[in-house]
Amino acid sequence: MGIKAIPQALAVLSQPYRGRPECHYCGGCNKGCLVEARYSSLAAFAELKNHSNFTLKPYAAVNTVLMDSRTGKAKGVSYIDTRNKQEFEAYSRAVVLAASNIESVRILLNSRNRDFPSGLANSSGTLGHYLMDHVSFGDVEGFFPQLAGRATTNDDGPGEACLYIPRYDYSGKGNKKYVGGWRLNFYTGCGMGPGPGASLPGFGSAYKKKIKELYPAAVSMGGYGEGLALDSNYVEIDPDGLRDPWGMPQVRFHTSAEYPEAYAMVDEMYGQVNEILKASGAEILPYKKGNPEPLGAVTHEGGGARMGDDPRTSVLDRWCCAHDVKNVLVADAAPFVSHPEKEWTLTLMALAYRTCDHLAEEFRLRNL
Amino acid sequence: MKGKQIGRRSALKYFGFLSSSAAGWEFLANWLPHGSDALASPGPAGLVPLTGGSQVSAPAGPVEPYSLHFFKSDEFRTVQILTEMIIPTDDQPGAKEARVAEYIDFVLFSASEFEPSLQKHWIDGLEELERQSNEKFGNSFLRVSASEREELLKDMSLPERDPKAEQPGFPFYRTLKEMTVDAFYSSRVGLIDVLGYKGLAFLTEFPGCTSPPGKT
Repeated sequence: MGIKAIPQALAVLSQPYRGRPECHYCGGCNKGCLVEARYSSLAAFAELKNHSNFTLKPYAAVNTVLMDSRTGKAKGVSYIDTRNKQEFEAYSRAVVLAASNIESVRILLNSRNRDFPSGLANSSGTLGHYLMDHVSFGDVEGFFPQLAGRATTNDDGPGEACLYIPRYDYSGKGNKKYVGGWRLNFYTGCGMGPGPGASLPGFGSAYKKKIKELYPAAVSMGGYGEGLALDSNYVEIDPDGLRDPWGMPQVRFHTSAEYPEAYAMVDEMYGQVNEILKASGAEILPYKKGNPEPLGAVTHEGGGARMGDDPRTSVLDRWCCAHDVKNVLVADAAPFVSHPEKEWTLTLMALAYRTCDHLAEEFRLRNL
Repeated sequence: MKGKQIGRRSALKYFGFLSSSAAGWEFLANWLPHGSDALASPGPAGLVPLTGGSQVSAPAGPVEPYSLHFFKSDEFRTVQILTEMIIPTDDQPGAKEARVAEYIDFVLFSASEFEPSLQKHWIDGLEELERQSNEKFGNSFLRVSASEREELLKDMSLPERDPKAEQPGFPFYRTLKEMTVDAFYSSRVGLIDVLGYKGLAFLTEFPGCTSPPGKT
């Protein structure tokens, strides 16, 4: 069909790196890599613990940013020891929140005070708003008849999509009814679970044998599209007073993924998935065309403390420092104002590096 | 990320029920083969290693008899028969060997906390089955013949083959089938012994696709 597909990037080491060994191909990547050959932020923390100027505080759940009312700057954080619910304080020249976007937003909302009655650094009123997640739909499943009954192989593998088609229709040509673009993922192999045969009608020995026959022949395809950052998708502190097990106020979500652009995108994704699967000789299992899945379904969430030059319409400046409190920074996906159809992690990490560089420079210039 | 082949996500849902309560944790510990370290304590990075895979040795020693948590004994007997009809023991083990009915009993017990409607769904479903059995064969499901049971389940599953057909027992049939399939193919017996799942095994190199292009 002339569509370029690439292998999925997996963040798995092919050779030893900084004390982490290379991959031994066990295929359990998604269950938490036991030897840390696959990147995880936990592994990064484990590496940091050897630095003399780094202290890791396990069991510490930050609940608020502490403010110095005299200078108008943050002076540290208070946190709860989750083992005994005792509250502690830690002091610092700057506070960087990187708790994942909703948690960072929750900490800011819970840090409200007399100067910031609707949440710290929320003079714009946009804190918690413009949440995003990838536009997605229920994967289309099927099987390749020519692979039925083959001997099983250890291709539970990376535990993720194996093949990836990026950048569908970012061109803006034609008369597409959505913004941005989307991408497709393929999943195949002998996974954990019965595979495509389980969706077939029937029961009994014949059904069970069909499951086994089709188990190594599974294929499924899904897609992720760029979601819109809508003001109407937001979190607030739960008005009914819901709290987490440590007594900290919880958030309530107000989100909908069912906007016209998402429907248009999902329509096109279904069409393309069908075309590709048919062209590849796969048998497609019957499915019901679904609505765009709710925000949070893909767990690629972002937004909530967006960056921008105008303090009236954004929480953070271009360096991810809060407009209102310059020594409060956010280094997760909360600053995103839009997102690509791809994974966000590398962009997120690049932004975090940039934010840290800026912070170091501000320290050097004694601005903070 | 989502992996949405049938069974994966929903199986995880039910496992979630089990692993989030102390009683469920105990059940899972008994559920897994004796001597298995599949439920190990968290490792250095705070991750719980799941070492189910093919390295775990087969169960040793007698398994303690299971005491019912949710079903009454007649109901449980019915559920045993139903799950063994969905995934029978043939030339390979089935729902019986994987003790699927016990799994369902415990999931339903745990559901009181997480999804109470699931309990009602099962009780109503079993009542509907009884009603149809009495109407059609003038006797309880437990007392009709194997071929009559087969016919009852075929009737209940009719909308699978004919989407326009109406069958009051169909939603229950779907749940029964889904949970049986989830339980069986997430068990050691189903996933490893029957399907031949080979994942989570240490390889010194990854062979990739071993077939020449265009061949299987």
